[in-house]
Amino acid sequence: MLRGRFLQSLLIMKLSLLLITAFCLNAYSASVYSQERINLELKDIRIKKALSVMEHLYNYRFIYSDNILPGDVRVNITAKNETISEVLEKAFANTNLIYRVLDNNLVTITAKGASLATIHIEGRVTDASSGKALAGVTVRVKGESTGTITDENGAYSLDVADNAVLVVSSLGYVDQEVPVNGRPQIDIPLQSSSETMSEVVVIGYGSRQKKDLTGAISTMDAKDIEKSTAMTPELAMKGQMAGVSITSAGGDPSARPTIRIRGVNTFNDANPLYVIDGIPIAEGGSGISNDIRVGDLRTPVNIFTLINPDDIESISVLKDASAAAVYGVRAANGVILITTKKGKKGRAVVDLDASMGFQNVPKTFKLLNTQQFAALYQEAYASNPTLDANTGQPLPIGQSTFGPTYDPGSSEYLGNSPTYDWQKALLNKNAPVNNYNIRVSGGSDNTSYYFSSGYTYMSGALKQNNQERYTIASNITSQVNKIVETGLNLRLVNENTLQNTQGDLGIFKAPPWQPIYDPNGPGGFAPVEEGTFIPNPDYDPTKISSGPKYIFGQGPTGLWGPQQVTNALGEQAFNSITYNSQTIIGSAYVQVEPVTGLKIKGTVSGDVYSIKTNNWADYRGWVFSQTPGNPYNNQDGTAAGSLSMRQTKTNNLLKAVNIDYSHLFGKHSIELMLDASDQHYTWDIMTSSSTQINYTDPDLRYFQAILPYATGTYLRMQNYALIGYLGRLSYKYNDKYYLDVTVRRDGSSRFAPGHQWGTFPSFSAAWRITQEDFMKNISWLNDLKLRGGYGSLGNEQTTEGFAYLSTASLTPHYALGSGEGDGQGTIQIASYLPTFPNTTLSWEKVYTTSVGFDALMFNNAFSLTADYYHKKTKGIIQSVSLPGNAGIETPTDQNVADVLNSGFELQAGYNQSFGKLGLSLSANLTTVHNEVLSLYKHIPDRPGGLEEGYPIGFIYGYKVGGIFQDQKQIDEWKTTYQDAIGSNDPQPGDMYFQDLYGNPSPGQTTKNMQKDSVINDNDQTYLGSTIPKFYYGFNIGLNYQGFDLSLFFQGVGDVKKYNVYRAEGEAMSSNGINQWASVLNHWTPDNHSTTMPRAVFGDPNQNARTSDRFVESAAYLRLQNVQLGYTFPSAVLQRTGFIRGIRVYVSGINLFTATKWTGLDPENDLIPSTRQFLAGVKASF
Amino acid sequence: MKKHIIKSAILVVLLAAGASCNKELLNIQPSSPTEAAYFTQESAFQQAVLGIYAKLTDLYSYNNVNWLQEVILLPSDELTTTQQNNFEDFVLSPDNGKLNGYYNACYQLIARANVVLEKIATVQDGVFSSDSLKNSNEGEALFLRAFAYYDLWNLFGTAPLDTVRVESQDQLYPPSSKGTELLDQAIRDLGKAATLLPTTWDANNRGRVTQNAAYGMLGKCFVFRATVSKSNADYQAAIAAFNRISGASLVPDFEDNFDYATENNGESLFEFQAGNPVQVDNVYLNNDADYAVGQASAYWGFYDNNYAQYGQPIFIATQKLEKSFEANDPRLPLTVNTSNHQIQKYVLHNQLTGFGVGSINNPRILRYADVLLLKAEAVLQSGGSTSDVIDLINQVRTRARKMVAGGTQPENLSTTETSKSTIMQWIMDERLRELAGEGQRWFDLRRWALGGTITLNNSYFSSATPALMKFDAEKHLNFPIPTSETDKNPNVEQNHGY
Repeated sequence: MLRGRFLQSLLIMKLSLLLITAFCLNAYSASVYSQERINLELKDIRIKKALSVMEHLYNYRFIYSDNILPGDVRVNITAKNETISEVLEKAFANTNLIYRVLDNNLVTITAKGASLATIHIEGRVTDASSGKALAGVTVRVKGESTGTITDENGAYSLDVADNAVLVVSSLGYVDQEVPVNGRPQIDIPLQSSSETMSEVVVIGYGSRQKKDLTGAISTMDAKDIEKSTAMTPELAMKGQMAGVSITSAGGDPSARPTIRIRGVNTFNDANPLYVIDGIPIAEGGSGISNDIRVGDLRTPVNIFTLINPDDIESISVLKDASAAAVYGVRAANGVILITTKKGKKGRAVVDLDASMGFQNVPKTFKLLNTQQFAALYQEAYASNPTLDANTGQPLPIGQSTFGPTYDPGSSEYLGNSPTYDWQKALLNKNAPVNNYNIRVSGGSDNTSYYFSSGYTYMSGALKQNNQERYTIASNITSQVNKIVETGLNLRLVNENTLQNTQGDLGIFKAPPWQPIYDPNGPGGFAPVEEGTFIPNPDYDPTKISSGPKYIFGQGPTGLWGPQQVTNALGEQAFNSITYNSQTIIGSAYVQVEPVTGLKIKGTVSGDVYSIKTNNWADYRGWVFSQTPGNPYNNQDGTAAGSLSMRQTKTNNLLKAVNIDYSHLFGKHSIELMLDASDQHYTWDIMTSSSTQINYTDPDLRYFQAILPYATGTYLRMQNYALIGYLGRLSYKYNDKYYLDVTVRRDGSSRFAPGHQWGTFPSFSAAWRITQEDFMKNISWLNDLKLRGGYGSLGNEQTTEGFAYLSTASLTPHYALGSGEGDGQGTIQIASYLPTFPNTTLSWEKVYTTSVGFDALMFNNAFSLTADYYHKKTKGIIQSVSLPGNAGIETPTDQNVADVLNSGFELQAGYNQSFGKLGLSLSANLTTVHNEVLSLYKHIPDRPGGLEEGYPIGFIYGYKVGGIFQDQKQIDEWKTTYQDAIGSNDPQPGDMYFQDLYGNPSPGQTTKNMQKDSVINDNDQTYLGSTIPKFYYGFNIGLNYQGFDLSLFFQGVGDVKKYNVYRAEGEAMSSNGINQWASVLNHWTPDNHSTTMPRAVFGDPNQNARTSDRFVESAAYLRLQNVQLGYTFPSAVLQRTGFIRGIRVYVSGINLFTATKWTGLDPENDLIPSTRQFLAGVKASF
Repeated sequence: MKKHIIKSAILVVLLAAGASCNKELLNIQPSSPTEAAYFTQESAFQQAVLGIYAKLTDLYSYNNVNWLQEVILLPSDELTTTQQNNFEDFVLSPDNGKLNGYYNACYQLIARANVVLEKIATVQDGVFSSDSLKNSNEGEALFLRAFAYYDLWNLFGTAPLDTVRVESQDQLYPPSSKGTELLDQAIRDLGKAATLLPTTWDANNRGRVTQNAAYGMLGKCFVFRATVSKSNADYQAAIAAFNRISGASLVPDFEDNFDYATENNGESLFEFQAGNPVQVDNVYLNNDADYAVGQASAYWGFYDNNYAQYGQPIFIATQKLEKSFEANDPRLPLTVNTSNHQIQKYVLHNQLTGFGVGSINNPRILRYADVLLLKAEAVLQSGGSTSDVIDLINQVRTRARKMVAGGTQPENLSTTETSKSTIMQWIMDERLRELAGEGQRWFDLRRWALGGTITLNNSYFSSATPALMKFDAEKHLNFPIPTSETDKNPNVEQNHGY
């Protein structure tokens, strides 16, 4: 495996060398001459007249032909001590003329397009705000493959046609085009893109300069995305954008993170819409919540690993209605627009990225050793022994459900055994992470192209969990002629995921005496069960009901006590679960521009996502199972194992036509965009399995049609279509006043005819106050824009569809015909009508108000964006279980509930240079107020965390009062209180809980504030919100002479979680689950703990009931990424002749987490996020 | 050339535009048949009828770790468990998940039956090939619905009565039933079912209900109602119904009632037909888990300590049950292992399914021995001949004796006894012995307590954890109506005391 990957990286490197040699640079020579200065002011003058004035006043002579100088063109000329070039540059700015200054002060004037000669030019490229030289800037000739890059002094020189146009570009700066016009010396100041509002932001159906935005949009560019080592773009966004909450799924590279934009809108599918290069991606299974098998069918593999973060140019998150309205009925949870890298006009650029590293889980649970474990449970049993049903006397522990392994007097006693570390055995130590990418892009005037190929391998926190990805991306656009443009975008991904995690760190519950390895066990692992087989006397190969050929003679018998666990490593050795997926995403378009400003575009796009699950179980593995079945079941007695395969396929086809018209008249600018699209989507599943596979060799494991042991099914799980019509009118006056109005009308097949269509309007406006005259004097404020908008969006993803129809389900089955020796009978298909149709079901609607401002201050060094949002979701579909007597088995979808989300967002940035030291700081903060406003018949679902007035998913339980220290305290307590949950017979060391409420009157669901001295169900209360009240991220960047250092912190605040694993690990009440080391401090008559109760089998007092005992803050602050890089000086690289830039870096991920959480990771305790160390190189040629 | 390119470009754009405006695209049909399309063939009716039976799986199977058997097995004096158990100790609250499960399963079964009854009533001519199959189907739906009413009455007493399919919002909120309304409806349904059902089914359909099953359940419901109402007419009606059972008899070997190989035998009137799907009996799913092979098996792990108990103690015999057997009663070792008190019924001759949790061994819901003892009770309570009564009891005792080679014990009861209360005690004791562990005991105790035949209190139950016992006869003869019903249906009243 490792060797294979190494060969792969060698191959990729070879390939890149080949490509690099193909694109080498040429060198140019230079020449110089001098000029006279001009002072002149001419208003509204014909060009010919102006030229003759200059000939008269200065020592210049102009040569031109009359037919290129129309007499009626008038110009203004204002020059103060300027060169002739500078004067003519301004004078000819809006004309079709170009000039060339020749020796002897002779100036020729010609029409554009006519080149006269090749000249030598040179100059310096500087940072516009600081005036510092910029090294490594690309200066190329527009439409040609010639160009150069600047040296460490920012200087460049080129030989070009005198009418050429230079294109100057550098990462972090706005590209600039500069006409040469015969000038030999051209100094070029560049505007930093982070310091200007002219950065181009991708919005839905188009792009726009940042200064012109009216909606709430967060963006991230390639530079920041590439820093993350995640396989998926979602994790690259974590902590980077205000309003976007990303919860990592832990250390499994293929697991799905959770993304919530501006709070949580619904109890149903709250995932945002993903649009990759204009293609809305839909994954099979989205929106189906009532089918318990969906999670299994869609597989645990995150579909968004389909896009290689290195291919991403930018991510835009549309957060409010006015931004997202263009996606109408799918946009309620926000929209994530991913734009991939495209080719740029100019010579070919080759980029190569490679990184390698390793990762580890930072910590594991601290547990009891075998001796402590045995002692604890002996004590727990002694506290509450089982009584003999006949004598009423306590049974010895060996005769109770604990069994003899816990009995020191028994020969089977295991309390003196060694301690085995199951957690360590499962962890994938120094798990490798590799990533290689090569990209080639370029283009001519008419056609540009981009190709990339990538390979990523990431192994997970646990053994036998890894993901391997090959990606190919390509796009090409071509301007066929002045009117027609076409483009093709295609992406192929092949992924192999091994997810043979038969266990996770939940294995901490294993009795510490249970061994992991056994040289005599199958595969070297210690069996969990033993048993012997005998021929089944009833066996009759012609009758299935006669049972398997062999049955257990003895056993199966557990070897390690009642709470023994499955030997996950043994199962891994014999079983495997792998996933193989292929993704194709593509789109093709033709755009015509019959009149300037009017563009008509037709697009056909789609994606096919197919994933195959391969689940192999070797029959020898039964000895490792905590719950073994007879391995001879469902086979003829000779099989080696069973195999089941499932292929699920998502098919998404989208057709769209888009008309865009923009027009400028004076200071007014309007843009009208109309779009019509339809989308058809299906999700199909094919399953086949056989319990009669005769070979263990993976190459020989194929199905043979051995009936009845092989079966197959086909299901069409989802099928729906969407039609959308969209109009957007944008108006702008003088870059000062902005208005956007959007209306989207959507039709969805998910709803009943007559209820299929919905209209989603929105508007937003902006005012750039700094453009007003009265603001011109405030010098510290460079730009200030106020924004605001309102609109409605829909969420159709929350219903599977067809909720308006009663359909027959053929899933039940029933056996008939047993008797006369056949105990089994024959299974027959049965049916029922599961649903209670709701013909008026419709989408959930989100009404959003958003206001904010964008400001640039202090010479563009400080930027601040602030937003307030207020979103009300109305008609949330609650799957309502009707009253039991109706006998309706599938909950009925009804539009009944409302939820509010509101909060503030702040995003700030600061960039400044101090000598050679550059400093950049950025930070973001989002607050979330989430509140359920109304529910079906106001009935709270408190265990489910739903109640009016509380956030979605809150924790509900009892409040601890304390621990009884002695009998006197118990007697006193019992004079007032009674505990209806436990035995109401507490002993010293047991906990008491608070009496908070009384029983509500019949038919009431609200709390009765009158306490009743009885501790029962009604005394459970709100124990905390699982939705963070705020989250944040901040970045510190430093650079000094080629070195750059960045530290990225990220965190969430004010959030609670119920620590389920601590509740198990500190319960001290089972018959043998290993406990956290923290229980060593439990209450005993000699150790009067006030926090950890006594150890007692069965927990008669219910000390471990759901209470604030196990509710903890899950807030954390994490040093997510530290990166130190070095960029080689371009002067050094120029000598190589072909390398344009190299940056090497080392990176540490998840280095440090500050949290009060007592588990392993506040995001995932069982497969925690890993700590990674990486080294990488980025080079371009 | 240029013109061609422009033309074809415009064409592509227009094509895309045309395609985008096709509203027919939204006309998508579901991948399962709509109700209207479905009920147009005889086979669909057979499937829908089997769908009613299939709901019984919820009551007798492992059911996603929510197996419900303890709801009727543990609140009795015959079984106990060594750890605190809410049903054993009568710690019953309206949000009890298992009670909720039982309640919902019963109504779901009723709803499935109501759909079949509605469809049969409105079926087009020609769909059924014969009237007899149509009648049988109607009889099956009525029988199964009646069985659900019977369970609901015995557990909840006042649960609402739904006799038609719920199709609109205003049907969702029926009131609580009163008195024996649920039993009354069961009696009406069973009476009609008995006239519609066939006397037997062919071997392939063995396990479907028959006329005998209907008369047996009908008589049983009459006895139950009579126990509470003291109605002589009900006892007479019960006897009449029992007398119409023909061809049923006690099987020679008592153990054949609990052996997977001898299911649907001559003594059996109604069984849940536990089976094993061809590939996998997935006991962690429901029978009708969406698009998945669920389970079709029964669960007996609470008698033989299956690993699916996850360390929870099994159900064992109480001292009272063990002591109730007379010396050398051959049924004792087939019922209880007296050394460890484990119940032997169903697990001595059991066969687990592939999953190792479920069993193909059918739970016997109504058998002829039960009928004989109920008939004895009906005759006794309606003033019939006491020797006839004792003869009926002795039939059951004789079978027990005869199954052992040369066996003479237990001895027959004396037919000269005339004390009604003594004979009633004999009936009660014989029911305890004969039907132990079959889920009959709590329903018997309840009806006798309701009718005043016995007085239930804590001492009646021999729990292994007597300190935890919370029985209150004022309250616990009706279990609480689940919160999921009382929260949503304002017309349902919670039972007294909850």
